[in-house]
Amino acid sequence: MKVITGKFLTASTVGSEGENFELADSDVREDTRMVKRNARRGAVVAVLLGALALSACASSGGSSSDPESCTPAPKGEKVTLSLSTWIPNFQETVDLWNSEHPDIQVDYTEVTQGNQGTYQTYLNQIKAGKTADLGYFDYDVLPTFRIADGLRNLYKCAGVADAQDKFIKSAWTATTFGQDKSIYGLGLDFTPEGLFYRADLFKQAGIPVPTTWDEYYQAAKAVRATGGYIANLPSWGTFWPTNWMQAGKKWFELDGDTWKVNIATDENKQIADRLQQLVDEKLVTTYPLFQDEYSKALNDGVIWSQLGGPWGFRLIPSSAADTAGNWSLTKMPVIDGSTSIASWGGAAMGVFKNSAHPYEAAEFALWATTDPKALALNSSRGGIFPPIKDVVSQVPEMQATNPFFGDQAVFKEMNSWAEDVNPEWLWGPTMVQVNADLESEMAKALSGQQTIFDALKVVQGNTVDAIKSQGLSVTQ
Amino acid sequence: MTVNLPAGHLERSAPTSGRRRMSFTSHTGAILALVAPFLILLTLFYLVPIGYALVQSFFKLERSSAFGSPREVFAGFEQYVHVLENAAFWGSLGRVGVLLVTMVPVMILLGLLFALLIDSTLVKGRRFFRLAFFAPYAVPGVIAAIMWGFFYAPTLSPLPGVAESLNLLDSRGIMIALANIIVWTVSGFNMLIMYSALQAVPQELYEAARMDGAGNVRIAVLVKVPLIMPSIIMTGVLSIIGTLQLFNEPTVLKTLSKAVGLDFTPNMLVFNTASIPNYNLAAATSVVLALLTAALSFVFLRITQKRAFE
Amino acid sequence: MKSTTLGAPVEGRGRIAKDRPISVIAATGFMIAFAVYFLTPLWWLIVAASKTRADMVSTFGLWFSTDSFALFDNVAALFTENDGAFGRWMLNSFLYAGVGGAVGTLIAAMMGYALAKYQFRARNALFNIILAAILIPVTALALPLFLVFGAVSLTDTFWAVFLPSLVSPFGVYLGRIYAAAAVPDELLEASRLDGSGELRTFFSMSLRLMAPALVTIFLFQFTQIWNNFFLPLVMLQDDALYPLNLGLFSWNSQVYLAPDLRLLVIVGSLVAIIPVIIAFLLLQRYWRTGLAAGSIK
Repeated sequence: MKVITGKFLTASTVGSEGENFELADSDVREDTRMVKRNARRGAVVAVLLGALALSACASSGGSSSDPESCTPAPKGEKVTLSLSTWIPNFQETVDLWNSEHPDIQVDYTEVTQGNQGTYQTYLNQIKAGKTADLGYFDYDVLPTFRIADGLRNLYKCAGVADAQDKFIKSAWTATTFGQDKSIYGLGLDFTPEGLFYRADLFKQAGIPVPTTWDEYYQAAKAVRATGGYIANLPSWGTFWPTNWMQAGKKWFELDGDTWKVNIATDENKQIADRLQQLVDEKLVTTYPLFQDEYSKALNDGVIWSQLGGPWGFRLIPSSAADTAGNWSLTKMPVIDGSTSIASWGGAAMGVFKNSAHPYEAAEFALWATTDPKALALNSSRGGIFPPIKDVVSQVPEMQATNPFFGDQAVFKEMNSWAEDVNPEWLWGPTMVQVNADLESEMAKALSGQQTIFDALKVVQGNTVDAIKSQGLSVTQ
Repeated sequence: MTVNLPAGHLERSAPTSGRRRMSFTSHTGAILALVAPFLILLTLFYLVPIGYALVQSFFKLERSSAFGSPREVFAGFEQYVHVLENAAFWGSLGRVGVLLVTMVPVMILLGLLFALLIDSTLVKGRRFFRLAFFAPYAVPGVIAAIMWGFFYAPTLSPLPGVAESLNLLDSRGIMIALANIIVWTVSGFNMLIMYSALQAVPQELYEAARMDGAGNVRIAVLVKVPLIMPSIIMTGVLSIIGTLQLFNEPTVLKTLSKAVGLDFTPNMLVFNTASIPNYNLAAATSVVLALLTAALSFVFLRITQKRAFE
Repeated sequence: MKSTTLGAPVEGRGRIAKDRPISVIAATGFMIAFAVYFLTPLWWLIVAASKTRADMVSTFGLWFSTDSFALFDNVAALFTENDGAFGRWMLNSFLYAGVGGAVGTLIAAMMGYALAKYQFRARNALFNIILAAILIPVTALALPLFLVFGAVSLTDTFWAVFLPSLVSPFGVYLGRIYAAAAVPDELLEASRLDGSGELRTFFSMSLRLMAPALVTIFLFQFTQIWNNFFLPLVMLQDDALYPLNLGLFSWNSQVYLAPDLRLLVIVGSLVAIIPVIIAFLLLQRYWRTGLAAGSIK
């Protein structure tokens, strides 16, 4: 159930070791003003391909005034916002904001990764009507929090709608659910999926690094012939949907107000078969990801590559310290004839519905997700890749090279294919259940008790039931 | 509901337990002062939440649109039907059921054996054994599971060969791995309860048997075990409750083994159902689990009660 | 439940004092084997906590490393990690389990005593409620409790874990048994004749008579709270309020991010359980005196 957007405990700086660069106050002020100026230019509506319904639904409790209006606190009133995330060293980003905004102070708490208890706490707080102002949400649980009536639509908050063209498309659709006039969070952490691979081993064995899934299968056989394994397939729930996301085989769709679940359709079987082949021919290991056996195999050079987002910059070094300098990053293998990739993880900052200060909360969220100074801290001190178009040229700190990855400028590399993440994807409203079911069913599939497609069928059935029990209309 | 739990186990043996008390209504004030603190806390932290869970279990959610906000509507027993139809629920019950019939008897028998041996004249160094066996009970289940996890994982184990060959973290071994952690933690506690009961048995009761030249075993089986039967039954009930409630240890083992899913035990299932979040179904599952626990304990008490007094 | 002759095949005829050597050896061997089983993990914990990370991997797990003895460095590292989170967790656990257990024991003893020593109309009904409460899985309460606490804005506070921990139906059950056993009615009658009030009698005499039993109740409740993981897991977000087990669990689930934590989890487990084991040691004599009524040392 762990989604690894990564809660890093110690300062992890990619490249430049823990340097705190000077912060020019004026820059931040200027930027905030810019944002406010842009706010009045009306919204740009994302017209999406595919069958995403554009029905704006009022998720309001039916109060007489507009529940989504977003107005600032009276002049001169000091606002204090509460916020929790699990981004490493995010306190530093908050401190920067606090020093710049004496009238809007943010009170920050670091919490454990969402699926390790924080989401539960959020949900319980929502039910009890006692939430903080701001929270942090993996993209896949945003719909869950929205149907729990816990999130505020930020569409009418100053500057939010205008920020659309700054954001990479798929991060934007993830927080708007592809719907008109709705924004339920601002993407802060983005996870374009790459292939981390042992450059030295591939080179030594003369095996070309795979760029397509067909090549991947060939490479897997070649690696196996040398005694190694190309990769580890984990039972972790969050890994599995990425394979279909890349292919544009949407697991969830909206037809008006009805959720459609397509997890185990016939056309999805193709991708299940591709993965099944790797399992059947024993070309992959199946350890729990980043646990001991996995780490040992990675460290001993038994496993040659790992798919992942920017969290890999931190997790691979911590799992396989002895292999420093031998790794490299490239775009994940694609399906022949397509360039699209998936994102595995990532999270957005959202404002809780009960917040008394949505205007100021949105202002902070916008600053934390778009201001270059904030992005610099988030990436250098938090290890995060922001979903901002061409972010690396705006944030010089992200151009640093990383010695563990053979002095590759890893953020720059990631930036070069970040916009290839398929934006045509909608997460379902019960992803906690989907991920949990995937985990137990895929564990059985990986140990040969059933096929991967069988597992998908079970998950499909459970998901339809779970959505039904949320009082939602569902078909399959 | 009435239960015939064993009454104080000294009431049949110890000369101190006096006649039945006569009624004293003049002590109303004192009685109130004695019971009020507990009753207030019990109401706030037991009865209110139980009531709340019961109410929740009879409701379901309704929404009018794809992202609509939820309304709770009365659903009768619908959630309970879902619980009983849920394969994962039965699977989790099956797993704790297996533990109930295998691990629990082992825990109780071991505890009884330890208590009798320490109480006998056969073993020197009683104090040492008492502490050694009871020490694991000082270890919280979470920490015990973390610790044993090190022994189970071949890459971490101080006895890698043993861990490798036993392979307790795969789907076949995981139940043994779990049972072992619990036996290790709780056997000493069971010993303590029974040993305390043995200590409270007045020595004169053995005198007669000793005079007849009865040995340790005969005294144990014919005198001691019947006398401490209520304690044995109590450990049985506590073990049943504890087993049905398993959560901590499997939650820790989950990080080590893909054989432990999020619905491994009924309580993990409840926790996970609440995380979806589906509070109504989680509440109904909790209620079913509580009823089942109570029912099993009653059945156990009925059966053993008979046996104890035959 | 009849054959208890599994471990020790003792043929007993003759006087107790003349146990056969073979039985003594068999029984002792059996006990020693189990002592090894119970103590090995604890021994390993001590050994592992004294090693550096490198030695943990490279040296035999059940014996100390000859190159280094890093226990004190490790303990120092333990208390500095996360701005001294571990020390806070220890204090929290002491408050939840130590103070909560003591207060809970007194409350349970009062209730148990009332049930044992007085006749009043609701007595049987109350006792049945308590028996039913024993059979209710505590974990089933945690989620509804959260919502109840949420309604009064007390979630994620110290009280959210402390207050529910005070309720121990099982403690009442034990208290009733022990009160019936340890406090003779004759003594109560006598103090009534002396004109002592009921409560004064309870606090000055009965409690003292029940003392050894209270220790047992306290031990039980202390362990119950000390072990409680589900409630803090549901209630607490702020790790400054975590009890030890939740704190160590959170570290343990982050090992993959920060491998250094693995050693700290081991050292932390050791430091966490040592005081409790010592406490159990100190309380041994109470068990020994057992529940023999009125025999107070």
